[in-house]
Amino acid sequence: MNKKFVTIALICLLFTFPAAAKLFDISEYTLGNGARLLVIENHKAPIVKHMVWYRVGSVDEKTGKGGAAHLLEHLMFRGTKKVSGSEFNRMMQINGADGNAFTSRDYTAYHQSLDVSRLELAMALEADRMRNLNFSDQDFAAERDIVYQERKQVVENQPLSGFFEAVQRGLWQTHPYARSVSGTEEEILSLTKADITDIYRRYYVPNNAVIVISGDIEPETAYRLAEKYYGKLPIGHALAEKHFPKVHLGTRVALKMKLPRVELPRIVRYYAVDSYNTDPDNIYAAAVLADYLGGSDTSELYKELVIKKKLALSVAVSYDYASRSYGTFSLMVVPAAGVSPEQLQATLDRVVNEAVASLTDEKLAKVKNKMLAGLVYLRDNPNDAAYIVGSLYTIGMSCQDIENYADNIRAVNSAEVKQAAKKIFGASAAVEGIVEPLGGEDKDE
Amino acid sequence: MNRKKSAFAVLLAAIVVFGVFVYRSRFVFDADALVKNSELGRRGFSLPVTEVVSPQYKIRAYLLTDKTNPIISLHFAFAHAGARSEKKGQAGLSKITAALISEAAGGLDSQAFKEKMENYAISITFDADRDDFSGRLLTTKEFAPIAFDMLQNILHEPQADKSDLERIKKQMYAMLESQNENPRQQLSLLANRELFGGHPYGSNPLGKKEDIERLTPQDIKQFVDSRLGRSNLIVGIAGDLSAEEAGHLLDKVFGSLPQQGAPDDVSEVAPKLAGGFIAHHKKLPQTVAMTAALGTRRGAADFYPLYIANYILGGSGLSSRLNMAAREREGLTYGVYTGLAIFDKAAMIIGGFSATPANFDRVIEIFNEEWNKMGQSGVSAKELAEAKNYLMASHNLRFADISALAEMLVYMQQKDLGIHFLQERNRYISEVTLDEVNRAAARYFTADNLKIIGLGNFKSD
Repeated sequence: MNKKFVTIALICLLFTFPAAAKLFDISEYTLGNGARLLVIENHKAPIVKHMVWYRVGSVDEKTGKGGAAHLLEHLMFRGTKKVSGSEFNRMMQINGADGNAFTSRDYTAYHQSLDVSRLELAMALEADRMRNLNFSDQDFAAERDIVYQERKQVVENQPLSGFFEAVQRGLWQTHPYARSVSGTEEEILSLTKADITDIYRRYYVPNNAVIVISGDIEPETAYRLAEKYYGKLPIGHALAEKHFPKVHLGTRVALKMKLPRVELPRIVRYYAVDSYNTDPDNIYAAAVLADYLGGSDTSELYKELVIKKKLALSVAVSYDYASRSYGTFSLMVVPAAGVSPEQLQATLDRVVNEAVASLTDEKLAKVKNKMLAGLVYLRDNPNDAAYIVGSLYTIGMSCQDIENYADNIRAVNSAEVKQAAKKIFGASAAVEGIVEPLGGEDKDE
Repeated sequence: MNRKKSAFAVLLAAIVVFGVFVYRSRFVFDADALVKNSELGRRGFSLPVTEVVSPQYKIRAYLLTDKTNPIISLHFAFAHAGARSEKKGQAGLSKITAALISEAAGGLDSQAFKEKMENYAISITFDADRDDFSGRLLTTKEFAPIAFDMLQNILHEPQADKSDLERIKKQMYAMLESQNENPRQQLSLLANRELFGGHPYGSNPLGKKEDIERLTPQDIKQFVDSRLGRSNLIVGIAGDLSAEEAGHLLDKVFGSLPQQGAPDDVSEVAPKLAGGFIAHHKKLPQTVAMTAALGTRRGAADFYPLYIANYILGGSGLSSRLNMAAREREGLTYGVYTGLAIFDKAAMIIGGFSATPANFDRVIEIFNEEWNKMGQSGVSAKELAEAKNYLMASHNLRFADISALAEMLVYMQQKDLGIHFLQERNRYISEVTLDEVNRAAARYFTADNLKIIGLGNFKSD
């Protein structure tokens, strides 16, 4: 249950991948009760990754109840009517499973890596806690304290996290993506058992779940077993499609923070842009743009800002289209010593514009080749495959689109990339944030 | 007994049996039966590791051939060529070298070299830790000849371009500064100094700014020439490669390295554990702690017994004794752990946790209680059986990732575990007796063998 505040940078993982080849060869099933099952075969060792994804995250929490989805994720390890207290953990442990769970803005997932001979046990346990969660008041209180400590450790002890939370609030304003997945301290401490069971009853139903099994198993066997364990759970009530508030396109927020314990200044820009769910046709051009501008040490911004002008120490540009509402396009630059953030800021727009204007078909072909070259590695590790496929499918991406990633990237032309840049940088809600060391009063002992 | 009564008894028994049946099927979760009756039986699995000796230079490597995917992972380490091989005034040289040498080689400048790697989906990276200098290469079978060529260029003609060096130095200064943004890294630096003093293990693994400032391209080339040799080279290869192909690869990539690499010239060190708890005061939202104790060497007779005792105390995640007491029962911390940390010149048991100041003292108290209890009373037969179950049943999980396997092959050679380790490891675990575990526990988990170092605010502040 660590590393929970997941923001996926899938694009980083997606890298001469043969034309028309499927990325994963997913077998897709729908169980009688609406639960989805995705199977990815990998027979190199007798192991599997078993994951259950629920389409519920912090965006589904009621106002003031921040952290409820995450606390529920923790409480899922606190017992059911049949498997009491911490028995879930003990059973998985003595059967050699490595497991955990995580919560993000858009989804919550539970997972185990285990010997295939133990898969049925894991399926039975997950199916049981999808329906029969039953924790004590005492365990509720202890777990709420634990997530409070988790926020202190994972968020507040990291000096930059306050800055990034402020950047998200600036960009998303009244949209639920503005909230922290962990919830604020006050929110966590005010959560009640009823807040948790409310989310559990509404969202932890087979028709809101995606089961992913990746590893040494035949798809038909996995399907039969999924029906055996998950299929017997009653279908939940139909879940209405969630409507997200619109982000005001004119939003331009400038944020400057000086924070204790920050040692290096950083400049970030975040844009609220299209995602797979708002405009599936345009995401590939934006993905190519992100890679072209700042995907690696051979990208345009790195060459210009780090190598030629020596204004920055590092540059990263990324695009996350795998979200239920808007996507996020982001830039992060660490200024070189002696370069003020303002100085760099002034150059940044010009460098980005010049890079976009100078995109030729030849340059585009190079970027696309780079993006596709390493896709074959995705076939190696069944754990990575489960994670990538599960997250994309849970936000709504079709198996066909997941499999056709390479072809979709290949189809992007330079006019589309330029068009994407125009929309992202010219007509999207945006926030620019600068964080600098506070200096002076932040001394040890 | 009359008939009526006995009929009643039979009926009663039937009801009880039926009741138990209903109870068991509806209210009892029988994990053992589920595993025993699973149609997915345990599949015998063994991927043999072979030792390859290259035809020309007689370079040895462990190879695990797996043709499931057309990819190859090569890991290698130059023993004793990490931070501990740095001379006075050169702190940071091994890290800088690791960052610089994969920048450019073979007549290509940094951009051209990186683009070539990206276009062929080749990844070559280096790193230096306190003991070793290491490298890893990942490539597809198709472009493997190009990848091996590039690696050969790096090792034989490291370019060490001046402008690349200047850029990497600046990035390293920034990394040194950002260490202070992370309380755990800060604590780890403080702890290294306290535990190891003037021994190389006491220094910052990233080096010193004033030393890095003075480093020249010549220093980098000299480091490569004098530290990276065939004498201290350890190689592991996993993936789609035959023994014959591996032999030629070894000659090609490593054959022209000098024979002599970094010597093993650093002395053993015992961490200084005297002084009990040490508090470093700093304004932090949550206080962080690190624990240290003497441990045992990888090859020692009591390694597996201690490994299991530690697993039960703090190595088994949420089910460990420490997490059950401090986290699950009292909700005091997000997590607490202990683990064996075995360096070339020091063997330790280290641990850590974070807690807000109001909880911190209680976590320390629990930590001490559980530590001493492990030393005094050891573990139960049931705990030992459950620990063995996990350790054996999870063994195959390490085969998920080809890079992790190549790394394992290097580790097996570094620690002299033998070529059959992957086949034998579960037997080593199964043969450990309760008595051996409890003897190891009594020896290592004592009040004298524990130091806790904290950073943050404390109740007394």
